Amino acid sequence: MSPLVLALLACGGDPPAERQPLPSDTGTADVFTIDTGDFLPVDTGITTGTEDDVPTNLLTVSQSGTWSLSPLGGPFTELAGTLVIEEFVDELDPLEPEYACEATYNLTGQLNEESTCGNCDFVFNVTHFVTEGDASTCREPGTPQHEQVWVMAYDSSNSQILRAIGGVWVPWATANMVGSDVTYTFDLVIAIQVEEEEEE
Amino acid sequence: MRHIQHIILASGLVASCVPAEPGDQLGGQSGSLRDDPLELPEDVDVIDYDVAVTQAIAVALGADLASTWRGHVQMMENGDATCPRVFLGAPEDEDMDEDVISWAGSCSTGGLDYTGTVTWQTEVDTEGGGGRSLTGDAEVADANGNVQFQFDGEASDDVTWTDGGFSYGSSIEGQVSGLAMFGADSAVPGGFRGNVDLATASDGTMTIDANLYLFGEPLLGRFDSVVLDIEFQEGCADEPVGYVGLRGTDGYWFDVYFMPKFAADDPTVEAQAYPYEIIDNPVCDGCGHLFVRNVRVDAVPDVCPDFGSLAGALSAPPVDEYVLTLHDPPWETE
Repeated sequence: MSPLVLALLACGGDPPAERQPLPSDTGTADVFTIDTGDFLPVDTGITTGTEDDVPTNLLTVSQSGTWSLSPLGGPFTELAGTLVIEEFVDELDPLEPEYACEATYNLTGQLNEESTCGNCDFVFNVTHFVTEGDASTCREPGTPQHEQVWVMAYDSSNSQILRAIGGVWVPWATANMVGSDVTYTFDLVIAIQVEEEEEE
Repeated sequence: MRHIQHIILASGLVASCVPAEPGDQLGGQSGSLRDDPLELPEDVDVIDYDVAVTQAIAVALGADLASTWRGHVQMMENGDATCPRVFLGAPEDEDMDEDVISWAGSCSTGGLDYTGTVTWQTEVDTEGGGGRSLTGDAEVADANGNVQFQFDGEASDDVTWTDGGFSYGSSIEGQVSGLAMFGADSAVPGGFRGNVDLATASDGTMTIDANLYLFGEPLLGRFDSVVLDIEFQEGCADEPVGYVGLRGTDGYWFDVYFMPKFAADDPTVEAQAYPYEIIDNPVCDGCGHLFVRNVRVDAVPDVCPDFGSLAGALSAPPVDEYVLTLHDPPWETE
């Protein structure tokens, strides 16, 4: 009979009269430690991230437009304007421009007397109406969508348009005011991860 | 050879058949509680458990995304968008929303060496709230090799501010360290590895579920890991339900049980692990009971951490920390 079978038989009955001696306790703390923790193993891997993780494509973003304020001569209470957004990846063929995103907006605005903006000349609630193109295809995260209302301000001392995000004023575009017209622009070139199209 | 294997296996089976008796120092079993005497650490009645538990809670509160995020932003402020390269989207092998933004190295600028990638997303609402997420595996070190920022994992948090009061939630799982985030005066000076889910509010609300290994100097020079499952519930601002566990550098666990988290008749394993039969007065008195190696230590008086100071020091990031746009980026533009 094999030792394994004998052992299994031994388990089936009463405990033996004399127990097998237990291992002696050396008294050191590392013998009978109780470590019930559930810890992540040490990460010995090499931190990922090499040049391969950096995309080689570039996205060029252009956002520009105008605000026409009224009544002429101020104080201004109404705003009408435009916004044009264009995005393209890498190079743009000037003869046959192909944009990754194109959107044209009409803007309307009413004076916002509740918001306070430090050095700003005036604050408007600006509503965006997409009249051409599809703003949802634009990759720049700060692209306004159709009928979105933003609280925006003009700061002549810094030649900026600002946008209130959750009550925080953020510089949004470089701007210049002549008479009752404000022209503004925001340009950005940033790397972008472009999904490769699957070959059919 | 097969015969020898059977003998070895048989020896193991015979040994396992021997019933343990009280007094046997067989060591504990994960999650079980026992009342037979076990050898206790020599310093068991010397340790200041009030301070240890208070610090353990401070560690968990400090291991939030707010700290990690500030380090992340600081690393971007040091660069110029080409190093580390900032890009729209996530690394190719990451299955993530394309609205995210990432930075990636390997490169050097401003005296710092960047490796790895970090991907993030932020959102701010009009009601005074914000949310954000951070995921990645990156390290930034200075010329002397001192790690300024290290993040390997996933994290998210959200905050709501109303009439000067806040509610804040943070979840983080991974490894975080670096001088940019955790200075010498931080509750977590060396950083940590593990996971923390916490919810706090300016009214003293505090719920923490954490399992952390601490890098650097142990707490009180004695504890290198903490496990917390505590929650302050309505009706008792002085003491939470749950427990705080401290792992000694010798591997022993020191657990302080506060009011029971589960009903006494709850049949779940979690509930049954709570030592109802040993704690005779689980009342809202601000104090917990110490167990070492799962044994109630009568020689140590009740443990009464300074919950008041912890609740009074609760804080949350302002909403403007959630505003991170490409129109006003933290990195140098021109």
